[in-house]
Amino acid sequence: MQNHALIQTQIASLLLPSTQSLISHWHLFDSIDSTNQYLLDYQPKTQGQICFAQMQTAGRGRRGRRWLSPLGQNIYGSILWQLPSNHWQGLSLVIGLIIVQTLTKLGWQDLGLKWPNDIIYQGKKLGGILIEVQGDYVVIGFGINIVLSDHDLSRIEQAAISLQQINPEIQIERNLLIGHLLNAILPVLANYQGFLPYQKQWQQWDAYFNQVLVLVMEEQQWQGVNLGVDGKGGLQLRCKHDNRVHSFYSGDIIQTRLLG
Amino acid sequence: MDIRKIKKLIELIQESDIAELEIQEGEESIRINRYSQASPVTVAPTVMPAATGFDSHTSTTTSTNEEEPCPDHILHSPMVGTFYRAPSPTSKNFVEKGQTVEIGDTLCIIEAMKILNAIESDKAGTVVDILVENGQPVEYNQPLFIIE
Repeated sequence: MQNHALIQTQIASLLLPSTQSLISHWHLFDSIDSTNQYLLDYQPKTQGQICFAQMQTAGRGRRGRRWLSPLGQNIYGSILWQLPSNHWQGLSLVIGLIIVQTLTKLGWQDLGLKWPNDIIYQGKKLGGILIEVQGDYVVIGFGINIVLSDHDLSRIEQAAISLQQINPEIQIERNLLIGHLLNAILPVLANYQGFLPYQKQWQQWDAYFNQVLVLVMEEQQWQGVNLGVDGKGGLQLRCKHDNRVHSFYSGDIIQTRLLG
Repeated sequence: MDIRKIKKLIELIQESDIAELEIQEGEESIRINRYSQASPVTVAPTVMPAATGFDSHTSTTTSTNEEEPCPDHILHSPMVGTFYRAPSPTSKNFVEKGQTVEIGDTLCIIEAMKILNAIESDKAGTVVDILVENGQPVEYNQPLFIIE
């Protein structure tokens, strides 16, 4: 894999006409604070804005966590879309599903999803999604590790992995990979009606189905068996404390055998 | 329609004597009624003892007297999720009790499944109470803020 700049014509060369028609503006940067923040601040807000950067100086995850975004070959991108209030339920899970399916079609094997939307390989994080909503607009941000140095890996608080480490044999240029992802994601956004049609598919990619998990939410914890996601995308755990099934819509999961 | 545009329109109406304004722009249209009886003011005396004894009917009679007391406005959660008062654990809260807010100001974030929803004020006024602690789960329609 070579270090190419982000080139709109190269990305666009792969886009289907139906995908092209869903894009209103391109914003490609060498460096930016955060692609999500850029689209959240951008005026006027029109649907179909696409922002990618070679590096982010303040790439972020949930709740102030940072997303390490060194200059190089990784993907840091955001899409701005208009969805009526509360119609975006479960969208974060669906975007994760679409990304994992796209990468698998391109040859990467044994990828999985960790609720709600981490893309993982052997328990290590390959990609993540962060969606921010402002009124009727949603900004869908995603990061995918393509190449990470040992130095980069040591700076990430959790176990992480890159596409190159998973399979160095697959040669794919970043601009083309972005094109493949947009071809997959944009039609889903254009037709999004909720999580229910994706529930079964999501289930098939759940890396921790039927396993004992701990769900951590601020200072509280629940331990239980993962019975899969409900029709809204909530995680269903048969909880240890009352042996009943509860759906959760927030929090982070930890696999118990990783608890040590 | 952009919330800032709506906010601007409301400000314009407040500065004038206009009682009602309707604008149509392409497929979008907006009607702002200054003294509407059907304003989305919610008084929930069973939840908020502060509001008990207040006769909401008298307050909704059409009146131009701005000195007349307004009922407290309660902002409810539009979704199930976790309530956060600041964008990150180390940053300043969006609002504090006693602070004045404008329509469109972000009051909190509710997060569900890594979707962070910035909840904007639908009323200008003073935040008289914040009913949920930072980091607590909230249910659909749960009262979050009282704005006076």
